[in-house]
Amino acid sequence: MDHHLEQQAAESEKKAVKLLGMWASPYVLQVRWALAMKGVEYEYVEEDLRSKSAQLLAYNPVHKKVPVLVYHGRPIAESQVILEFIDDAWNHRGDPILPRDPYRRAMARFWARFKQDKLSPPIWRWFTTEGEEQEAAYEAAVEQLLVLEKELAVSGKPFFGGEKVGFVDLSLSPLAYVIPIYEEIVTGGGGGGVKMVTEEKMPSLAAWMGRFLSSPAVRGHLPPLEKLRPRCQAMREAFLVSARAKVEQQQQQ
Amino acid sequence: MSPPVKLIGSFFDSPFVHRAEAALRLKGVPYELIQEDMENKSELLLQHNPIHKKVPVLVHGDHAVCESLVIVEYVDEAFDGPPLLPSDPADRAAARFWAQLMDTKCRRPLVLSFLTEGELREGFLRETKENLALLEAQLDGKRFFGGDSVGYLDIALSALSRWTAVFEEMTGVSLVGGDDFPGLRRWAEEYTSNEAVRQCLPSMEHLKAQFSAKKDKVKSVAMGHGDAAAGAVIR
Repeated sequence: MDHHLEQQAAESEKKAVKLLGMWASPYVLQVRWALAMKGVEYEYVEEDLRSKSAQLLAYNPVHKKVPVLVYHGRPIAESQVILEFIDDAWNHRGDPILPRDPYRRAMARFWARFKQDKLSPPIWRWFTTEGEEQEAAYEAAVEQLLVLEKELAVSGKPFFGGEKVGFVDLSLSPLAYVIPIYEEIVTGGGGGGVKMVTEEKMPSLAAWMGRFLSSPAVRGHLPPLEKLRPRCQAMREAFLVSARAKVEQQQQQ
Repeated sequence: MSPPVKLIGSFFDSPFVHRAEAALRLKGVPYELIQEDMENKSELLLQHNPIHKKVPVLVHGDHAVCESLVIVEYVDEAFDGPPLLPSDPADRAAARFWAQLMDTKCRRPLVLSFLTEGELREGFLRETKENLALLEAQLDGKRFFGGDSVGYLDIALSALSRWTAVFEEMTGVSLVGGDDFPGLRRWAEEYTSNEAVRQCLPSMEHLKAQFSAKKDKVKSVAMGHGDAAAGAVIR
């Protein structure tokens, strides 16, 4: 294809694909990485989630959340659904996001759900609580991380997707850049928090984190960490304040 | 030749296990059903689903696949037969979106509608009806969510057919079976009369007996732990 036609194709693709997102959302980020892996041109719309646009509410009336991918006017919501859609729609382009083999695809879907159902909750609890509750959450999170560690160690591959970044790596991506931020904040607060992913306890995961962050689709496409850090800090503080207020209230009754 | 297929289910007629069976039957894949006593889990189950220790688990040769909707997609992709998911990528995304919604948003208030009473029940019923209205709109007068034939989303929503009908009969509450959702009511009849589906659908009597026996145990668990419990309730 000559340059002019290529340009036209890219522009027309950009009009066909729109992504509603928010800079700090790891779910939006996964979608952006997937689109980058497929070399898809798109229009990005930054949403203010405290004041949701009419467009967002129209495209995602059920959840009213980002990311929403709009393809030729048709909205697609929920990050995992969107990732699979990107793989399906640009099947012929770039590297596969999900494996081709049915069993490996099933395993990829299984691990993505594992992260959502078993791993994210205790990590979030660890980050938003203190004292005994936090310690229990820490233990629960480590237990699940060790499951992942084993999975990766046994595979002997650089990524959960094999030789290259895939669906599971994208789903686990917050681990790579958010956990270090959480660790810094929790430890810095004097809460006695320990690092969650260490090279001694989880060598494969620790190595994966660095490898993932320097992979082509991801490198250079991270949210501004200097903006993210204070945002996470404020979130933790808000949760702690609210929990302490509840305890006080209960004690006064 | 493809290795034999075993499906690990339970004595309790779980809609999650049904999803896996419906997929296998619609696809025309012969399988052996192994029923687990969930109070006394076998080595086979623990070996093939060490992380969650739940059913259904599909065992296909060396491969063990867990999570009901993951199993349905695996069956669709690993075996020949009529496709369960649509071919258009955006239609596939829609089917996955609504299936996910069933498990993350619809299931809990539906189950709790039946396990609670009074004001609590009213609240859960209201929420359930909102969800059913969304699904009614999505069905949009079609025979099945998949169009003319049973597909992935019909299978994913199967708990809204027989299981919900049993709940409604036992409590006198009206949901899918009432007049508010004519599309869904017709869909439930179509789904439960489908040739392949019928063969793996528990009878009303059977389910009624099971729900009665389980009700009290299930209620305390569901109220205490919300989603995880509502899931555990019917597994």
